Amino acid sequence: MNNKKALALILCICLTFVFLAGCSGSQSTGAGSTSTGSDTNNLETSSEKPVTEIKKGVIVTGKAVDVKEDENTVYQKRITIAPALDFTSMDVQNEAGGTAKSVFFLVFNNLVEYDTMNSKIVSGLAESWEQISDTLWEFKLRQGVKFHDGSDFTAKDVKFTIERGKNQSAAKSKFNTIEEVIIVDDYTVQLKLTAPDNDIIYKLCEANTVMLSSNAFATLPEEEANKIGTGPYKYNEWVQGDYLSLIRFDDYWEGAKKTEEIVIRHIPEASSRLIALQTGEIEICIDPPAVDLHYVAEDKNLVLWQIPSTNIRHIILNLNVEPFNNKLVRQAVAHAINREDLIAIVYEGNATPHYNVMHTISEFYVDVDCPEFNPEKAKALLAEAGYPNGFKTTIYSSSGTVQKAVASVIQAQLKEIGIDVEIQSLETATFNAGVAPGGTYPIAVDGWGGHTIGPDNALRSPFHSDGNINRSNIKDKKVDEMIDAALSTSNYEERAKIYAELQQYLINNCNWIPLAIEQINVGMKAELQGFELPLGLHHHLRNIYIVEK
Amino acid sequence: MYKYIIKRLLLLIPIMLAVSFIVFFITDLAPGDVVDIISGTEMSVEDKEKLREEMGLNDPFVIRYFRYMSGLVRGDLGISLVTKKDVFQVYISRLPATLKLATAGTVVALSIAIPLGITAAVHQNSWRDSGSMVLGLLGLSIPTFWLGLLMIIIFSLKLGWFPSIGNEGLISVVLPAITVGSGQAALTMRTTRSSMLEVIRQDYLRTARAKGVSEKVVIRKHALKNALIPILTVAGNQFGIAMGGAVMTETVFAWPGIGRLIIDSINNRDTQMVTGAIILTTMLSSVVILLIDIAYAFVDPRIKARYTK
Repeated sequence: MNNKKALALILCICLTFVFLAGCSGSQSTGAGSTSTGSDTNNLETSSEKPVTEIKKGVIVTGKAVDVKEDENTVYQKRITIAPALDFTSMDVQNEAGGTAKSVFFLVFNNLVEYDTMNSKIVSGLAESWEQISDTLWEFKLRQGVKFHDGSDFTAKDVKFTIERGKNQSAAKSKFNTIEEVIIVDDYTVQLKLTAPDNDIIYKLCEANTVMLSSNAFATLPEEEANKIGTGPYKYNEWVQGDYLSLIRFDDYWEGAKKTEEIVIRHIPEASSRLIALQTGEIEICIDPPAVDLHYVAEDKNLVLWQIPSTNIRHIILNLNVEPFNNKLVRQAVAHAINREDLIAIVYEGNATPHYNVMHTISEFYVDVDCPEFNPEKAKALLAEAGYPNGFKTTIYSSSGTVQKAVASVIQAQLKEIGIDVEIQSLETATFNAGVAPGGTYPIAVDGWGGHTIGPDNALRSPFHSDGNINRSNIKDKKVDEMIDAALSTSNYEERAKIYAELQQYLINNCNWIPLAIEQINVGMKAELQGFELPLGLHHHLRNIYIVEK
Repeated sequence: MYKYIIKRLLLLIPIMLAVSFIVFFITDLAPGDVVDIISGTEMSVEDKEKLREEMGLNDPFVIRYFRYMSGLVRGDLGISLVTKKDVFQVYISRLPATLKLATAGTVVALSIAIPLGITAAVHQNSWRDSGSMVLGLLGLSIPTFWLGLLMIIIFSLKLGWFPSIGNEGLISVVLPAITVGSGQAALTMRTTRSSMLEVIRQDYLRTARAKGVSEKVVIRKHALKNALIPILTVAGNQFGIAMGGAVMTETVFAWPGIGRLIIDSINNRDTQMVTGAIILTTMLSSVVILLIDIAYAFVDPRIKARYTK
């Protein structure tokens, strides 16, 4: 009997311990939810740290430590960055992953580059450029640029890179309008286009279009040649799934950078990533858990950047599947969606509602008349379409936390107008295969971030009949004609007019319903200097440094 | 003895064949392929098809399997479809971290399980017995993920005693090993307890006590040694399983082990990497189990005598 009592006592103590531990955990999460729940304004009031809003909606909480530098300043040798996704390949012209692209910007250079802090195209390996005619561009190359293998960068490298890229999977779509690369002299090249392509300059800023060394590809095996760039850092060591080390290139044409080594560390679990930042094991944490952002915001040793991403979260309605081939049904769905609620639930308020197919970062973005949240109107439209009692359908999403949460909210909102939605969450490869053009998913939760390669890529990929990600299977001659016309029209005003009309047309069509512009959250040490806004999901990290105390 | 070892090693061949077929077949059953992962949004439908053709993904299953097997019999595990790295090299680069964690985890498990198991058996039906049982159950019931994060918060973030991530030096293995070990300890503890209980009741222990041998020596020298076989079996099997990687622990501690390699490769539909890694893990686990079987002979002279017959 005594033993039983003892056992009961031990069990009670253990249960109490577990209960208390559980409660303390949920309290802390709850606090997090509240703190970040009402957008960043709450951060402003709950934290003593200053909140600075820099342009383009970026909110910076905390302040980088002021530093004074002179010739005796010593810089921290190594900076470690933990992105959410692993670095998976050095194959520059075939890699589509975001982390790899951020690395390519460190190891290589483009002809021209996008200055994300000032939203303009600036010179890279080309000192200057000029559009000679609708289909001819000329680039004057920078002299004295060395590759990591010691060879000089010249016009023949540009020709080699572009000609090679036209047959490589990820670079192909960016180089496919270039008919010929004409070498005028060692430091002048001309790009002859097959047809007018107003976006060519944007495409040349992309990570898959960085300049490769023709000498390296002639003398080394392909996997080694892919490592040779002109960028400020060169590959040092890659332990797949663990870390990638990049070492400073001392002969960099702009002068050697302040930080000797940049390490890209793979920490798959978001909470562990954040703790590693708090313990000082890493200097930059990309995408800490959304519910834990307040830990970064409240920590005086850390700075939080909340950056609107180029990703538009949206749902697609498949025109090949009944009843979504009926425009009235699609309009009903569009009227049933309450973006504010969705953002509060899915993103804890840390996202911006979005109402257009074009991203606000595009120079051709216009305000469009988007179907407003109106359940009564939605029900009436359903009845008019012949579905007064709604219908059953399925929404597909990948297994990502956000995607699944969006699917659940859409399910609840469509239930309000009588549409009974079943959710299918699939892991990425299965989802990608099923959602591909020609697929049969009725509704799918998707994301699209291709707005940095120009307006043509932004709209052609999801809406042109031949678009790479025409996942709603729209085959509309008028849309195709408008997309093609906008690409080849050299008159800016006319182009803007076509894009404005196209945006409204697509929103009225309701095959692609925008929901929100997501946010990239980056936590970093307050000592860190030189952090720049990312281009899409590709971070610009080449100027980061920390002054040694 | 040698005959037995050779027989066991030869048995590995049909096991490898079966494993390679099953893994290749199951990976093939899942919808989607590696092109759906690596193509991103940048490739047209036609280009994706062309890439599938180039990679041989459109060939019938049987042809792909035999192509893979023809490489395998020559000792070539192929290259990763995603990273283009040599499968064997990648596996070998992950092996030290996995071995380190599996060994340290087993050491932790045994250091918790054996003392607790002995205490529970010696003091059967007392509060010590119940307490050990509860502790063991707790270790088994607490989710690895939660325990790992809790330990990081306490010992890395609050106290700053250990690194929270990665595999650098011996100190980095402490927290992951405790996380892995505490889960393993429960089963080993239960086995130690029941095995000890069986031995404790034997006549020769009573005789030893009657001869005036101290209780400590009776337990350590006479009882534990004879109770070791089942404990060795359980601990060995758990070590063998740990060789396949502790996915959750590896994820929380960003530990570059084989478990994460396999899971990432499955998600990427990297058939070459998945099949190669599982074949190598099966081989390793089989060798570990064989070594344990051989170890029986050293622990128990009766088994050794049977081998030498």
